[in-house]
Amino acid sequence: MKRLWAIIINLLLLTAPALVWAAEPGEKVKDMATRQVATAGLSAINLFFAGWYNDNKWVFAIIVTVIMGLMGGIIAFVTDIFLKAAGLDVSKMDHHE
Amino acid sequence: MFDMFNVYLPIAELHFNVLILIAIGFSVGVLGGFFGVGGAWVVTPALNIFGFPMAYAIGTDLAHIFGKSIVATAKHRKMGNVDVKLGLVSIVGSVVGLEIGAQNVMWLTRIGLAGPVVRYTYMFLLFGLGIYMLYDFATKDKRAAAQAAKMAAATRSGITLEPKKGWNLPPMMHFPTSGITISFWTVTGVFLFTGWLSGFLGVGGGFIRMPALIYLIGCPTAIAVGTDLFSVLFAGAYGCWTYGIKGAVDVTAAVFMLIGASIGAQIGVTAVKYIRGYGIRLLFAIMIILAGCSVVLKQLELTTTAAWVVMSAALGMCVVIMAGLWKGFKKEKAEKAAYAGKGGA
Repeated sequence: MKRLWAIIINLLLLTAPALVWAAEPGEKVKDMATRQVATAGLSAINLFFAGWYNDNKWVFAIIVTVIMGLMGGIIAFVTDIFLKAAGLDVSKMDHHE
Repeated sequence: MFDMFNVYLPIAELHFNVLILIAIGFSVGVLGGFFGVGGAWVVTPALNIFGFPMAYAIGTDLAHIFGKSIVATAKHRKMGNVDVKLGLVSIVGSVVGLEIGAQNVMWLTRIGLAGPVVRYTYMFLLFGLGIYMLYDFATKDKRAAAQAAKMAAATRSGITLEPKKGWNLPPMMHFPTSGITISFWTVTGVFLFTGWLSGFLGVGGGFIRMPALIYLIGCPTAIAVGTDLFSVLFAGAYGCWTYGIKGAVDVTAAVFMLIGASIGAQIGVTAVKYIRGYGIRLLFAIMIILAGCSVVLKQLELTTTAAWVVMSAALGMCVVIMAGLWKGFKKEKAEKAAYAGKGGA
């Protein structure tokens, strides 16, 4: 009997999202998807970013996401090495409230 | 002298001082690593004060949050503070809840009530949560003593105390890192709710999810911090990408903020090792009450004062966290020296 109630309540809870989901889409947020930046006088890395920003925002977004992810990973790895060498490394801790 | 640190931001098309970007990144890195939050509510007003174009503030901030949360999560994982399974479940529930919350606020916008409802909900949440966490900290010893007395009385009477009954509607899920077994519906419901609040208020949600993990799921504080950062990592990645497509990320600014944030995150995460769970909760409560005060000032149209309040609170909290880290590190070093002096006996 208890198991049957558990199944019934599970089925009701599974249908709940369909009942509360709002129907209409919201307002469009203003974006700068068509904006172009000036490239005159830029060189090296600035020109690279500005170029892709102007040419293809999807590629620009992928480049930015990959760069930020890679930088985060590399910084995490390198600082671990330095901190370990300085005796400031961390290991599993006991949890005290 | 400081002009030599100005660099050209090619997407925002202006010169900006990198020391400011690194300093903002550093303070948010400390707070993020310590509390498990993204810190956008500090970054946006801070950038505003120093004249960074607001059109790029959110996207640039999310981009740096993505990188920073990789650094902080990796370190928390080493300390055993990341419950990956719980983090992944939280993402699913949060995303669904966020979309529902965003749709609800769009509906309120159409009927002209979004502004006051969202505003007062935000203030109620910040002050309510902060006051509750202060109360929790203030009464922890009294509650622990009462519980010990109850158990002692039960033992003397030969009565076995029944454990407090939670809602254990199957399917049950076990999260070994957090050491909790909980109903799937409880954990999904909690994250649907926190996601709904994020979408409704238009915030990242780290400062909502962290206390939810502690009080509603039952995670130890340090694991709540690490697991929340794991969720923030995915939110940051998605935010970086989607704002990149919208052309609202200045990648150069994000890189400099990430440099500062990476250093700050190392400090914030390490400080978790030396400050006990309730200490983290107390500092978090103070931080969000000050953030609430900033929101009140903003509603009174004292925008610059509000920004200075939140920035000062963030810097002050960084100093407190670094002092806690230094104190704990010195104590650990002294204990190790004493142990070595006794010949390791």
